[in-house]
Amino acid sequence: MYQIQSLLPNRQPEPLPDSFWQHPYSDRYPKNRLSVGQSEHARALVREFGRLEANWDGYNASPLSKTVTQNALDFLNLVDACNVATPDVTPLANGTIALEWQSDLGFAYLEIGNSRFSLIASSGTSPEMLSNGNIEELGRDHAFLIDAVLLPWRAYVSTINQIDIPLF
Amino acid sequence: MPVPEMPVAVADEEVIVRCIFFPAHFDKNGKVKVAAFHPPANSQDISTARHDYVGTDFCKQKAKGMQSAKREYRGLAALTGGGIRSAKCEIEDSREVFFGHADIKMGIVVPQGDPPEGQSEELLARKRALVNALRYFHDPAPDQEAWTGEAIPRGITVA
Repeated sequence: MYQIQSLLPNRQPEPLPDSFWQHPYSDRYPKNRLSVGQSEHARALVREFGRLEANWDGYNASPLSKTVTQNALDFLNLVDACNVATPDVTPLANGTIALEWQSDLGFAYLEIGNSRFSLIASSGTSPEMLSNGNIEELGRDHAFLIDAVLLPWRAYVSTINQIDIPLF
Repeated sequence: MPVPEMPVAVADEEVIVRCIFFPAHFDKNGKVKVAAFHPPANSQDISTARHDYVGTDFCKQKAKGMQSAKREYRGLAALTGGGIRSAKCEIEDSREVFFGHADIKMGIVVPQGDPPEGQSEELLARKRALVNALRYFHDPAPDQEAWTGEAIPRGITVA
């Protein structure tokens, strides 16, 4: 039995080349990608959500805790650092925040709470992928997964960083 | 119009209405978003009104009563009992809240401040199905007391 680790891309943020916008599918993707103004707008919205009072939706919604707000801000910063598109952000009635990405090629929906997250992503041609976990586990791999379902042609060839083969 | 006899059971053809507010319930393209059907903490219930029995003016007045400085009434989302059930949800009369009130039962109780464990995918699927099944009726004159927009059809003939 052997173990393969880190099949997800291990890449650094990089600027998009001009040729990206000439890609035949590029018109299907939000042009606000990588827009500093949009990501700052998303962060400002999250901070505003953090000031919502009880019953903010008229249907007995809970206010968002400082922890939920900070968790969402942390992931938005990570999304920026990983060169992933800025999501739509929405407060949910039970006091969590939803981050949503949509392109014609795929979608991703991430719900962030105090201690847990839930990510649902699909490239459209493949079954939905689901990742639940503790909030501490939410990281770069999830950002890259989101990028891969939205922009499959940009998915990098995965590099295998470690293979463990037991000796018999 | 006389007040009709209202059965407890919600028929498949009955029209159910949810009040929709700006900005919480709209996406950037002006469409009703799935968050409009996310239950509050420790609940699976989505508040609605039984439009066939209380009428559009009543629904509008309820919505206007729920407005605040940060919550602006914009219109009504209409579904049928059958459409709700097609989304794997249930609809139950809750007249103890007020005459004509009903709850969409999402079937998944969401905890306070965290996603539902192991059920987020199913909850999202149900919310999406509800959004796909609804028809949004924009209120062209939200400040007026009476409904002046496109007539919301009744699914049930009432006496």
